[in-house]
Amino acid sequence: MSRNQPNEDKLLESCLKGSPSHQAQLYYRYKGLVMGICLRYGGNVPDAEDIYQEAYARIFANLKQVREESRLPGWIRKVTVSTAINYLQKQRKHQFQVVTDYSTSPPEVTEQFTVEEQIEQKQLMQWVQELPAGSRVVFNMYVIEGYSHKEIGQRLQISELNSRSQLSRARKLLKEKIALHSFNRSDYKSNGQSFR
Amino acid sequence: MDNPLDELFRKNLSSYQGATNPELDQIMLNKLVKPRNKTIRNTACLLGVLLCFVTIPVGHSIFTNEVSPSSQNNDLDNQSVGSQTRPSTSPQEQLPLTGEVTVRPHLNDTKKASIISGLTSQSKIPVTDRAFPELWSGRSGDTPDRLPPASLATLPLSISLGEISVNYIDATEEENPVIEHKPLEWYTKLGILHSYHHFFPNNQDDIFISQFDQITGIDANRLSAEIEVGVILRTKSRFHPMAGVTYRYYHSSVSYTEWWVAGYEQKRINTDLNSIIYEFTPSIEPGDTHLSTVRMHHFGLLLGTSYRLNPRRQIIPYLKPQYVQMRAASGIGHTYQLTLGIGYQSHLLLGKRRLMVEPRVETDVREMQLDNQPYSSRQWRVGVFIQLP
Repeated sequence: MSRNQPNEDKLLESCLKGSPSHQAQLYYRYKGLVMGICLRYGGNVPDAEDIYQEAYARIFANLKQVREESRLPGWIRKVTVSTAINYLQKQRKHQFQVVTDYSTSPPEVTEQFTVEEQIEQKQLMQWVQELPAGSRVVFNMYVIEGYSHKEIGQRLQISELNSRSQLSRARKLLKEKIALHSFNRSDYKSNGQSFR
Repeated sequence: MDNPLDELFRKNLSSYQGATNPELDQIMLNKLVKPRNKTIRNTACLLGVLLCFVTIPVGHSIFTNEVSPSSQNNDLDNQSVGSQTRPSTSPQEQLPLTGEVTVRPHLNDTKKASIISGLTSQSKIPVTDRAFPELWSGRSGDTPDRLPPASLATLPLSISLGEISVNYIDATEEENPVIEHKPLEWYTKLGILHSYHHFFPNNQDDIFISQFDQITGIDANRLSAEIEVGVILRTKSRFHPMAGVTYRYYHSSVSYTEWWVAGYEQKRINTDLNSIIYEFTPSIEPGDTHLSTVRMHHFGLLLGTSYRLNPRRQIIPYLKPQYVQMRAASGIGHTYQLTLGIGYQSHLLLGKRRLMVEPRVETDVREMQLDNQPYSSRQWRVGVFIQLP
């Protein structure tokens, strides 16, 4: 008996036919991607796992909508983001409301920002997770997924101005965290300590 | 979006791979990945086999002189055989009566064949009693001087309807083979069974099995043998309870694909299944009871619990490019089963000994595992049993 290594092109087709082996392989192939999105939006592991379960349930239930293997990762990403937003809207709807005074226009982020040192992915993920829920969702949608403020406003049922304000707040908080991180590292280095 | 902050996060987090714990994977896979449903196909197959087993003994009654309902309007019998030669249709009178046909030698072959055909097909006397005595051996009322069909065909016969005479010999004068039953009898039963296994992963452990390579259809590897010793209680009602202890041997070989976090592994488990089965069979006889005659056909319902021992089990992983025998484990895999089944018990007479043949279909409706096993199985079995009282 030879190992039945899945053929890339046949994976989706076999999953649609109900092959348990290929369905399991599909799950394992994209679980990291899905969980990554869930952690970014969820903010903590329990919420991320809830989103993860809902997202995969939707993915397997609507797998017939995908016609081409090449579109599968993008489709999975889209479904997961959509599930995460729905989940957060149900759980923390109030957190999308911004307390900023809208009588004045939100500050534009024009200042230059440079990162001279390498920051670990895990650290960046942690900082994103530590953002307030509203800012976190807007930041993820705008920066990572590439939505416009108009699209974010429509999807989250908030104003475009509110979206800009949330993004600005997120950037400010992240900059502070990076600055603090850089300061700590330089402080360690100056004291002759290393991160090993 | 030329902001370096955005670029930093987009570059690092757009393809971020989050880690999941194995428990969540197991939950998700159990929820999402469902094995293919072959229940309908298997059920249809088993029903077909069961139907075959049940219809054979019902339609083939070799011990009784059954009377065909269609023979009530038999003109030939009324005209030529006459009331003095026509046997009674009551069951009590059919058993001792045997028939003999004498044909006059002036009938052409066509007419002769027509008359013989009419006699055998329409008369209330069974075929075996009239024209084919050599097929009707083992009966106490058999007469050796009846005319065999081969001599009928070679004689230059001519016959008229009025010249046919049928003589019957009353067999009640000879010994009737009545089997005397004791109220409590020991029996030994031998059986050969064909198993239809359906394997499925055990959800209680942390091993995920995505696929079983199962044998399908009828296969010699699915045969098992068993021997049973028990006791039967003969009552005068229709209820004959049987209780016995069975030993069954069955060699099982299962190949399956086992998933773990970073990939999958193919494995095969060879198991010698030795089952000790305590079973109770309430046999229910339809119709009148025939405890004192040779005729006994009845259904038997099986209700049993079995304790399955797996004294030898080999887990053989697949290391490319072949399975490699690694180790043999013993004393693992104890399970309890609740078994239900139904059989049709036909009693045959061998001289003054009685032999029971029982086609049976049974299934394990409930399996309880005593220790951790990677998979469970549901089993249907179709078998034939021979019982010696």
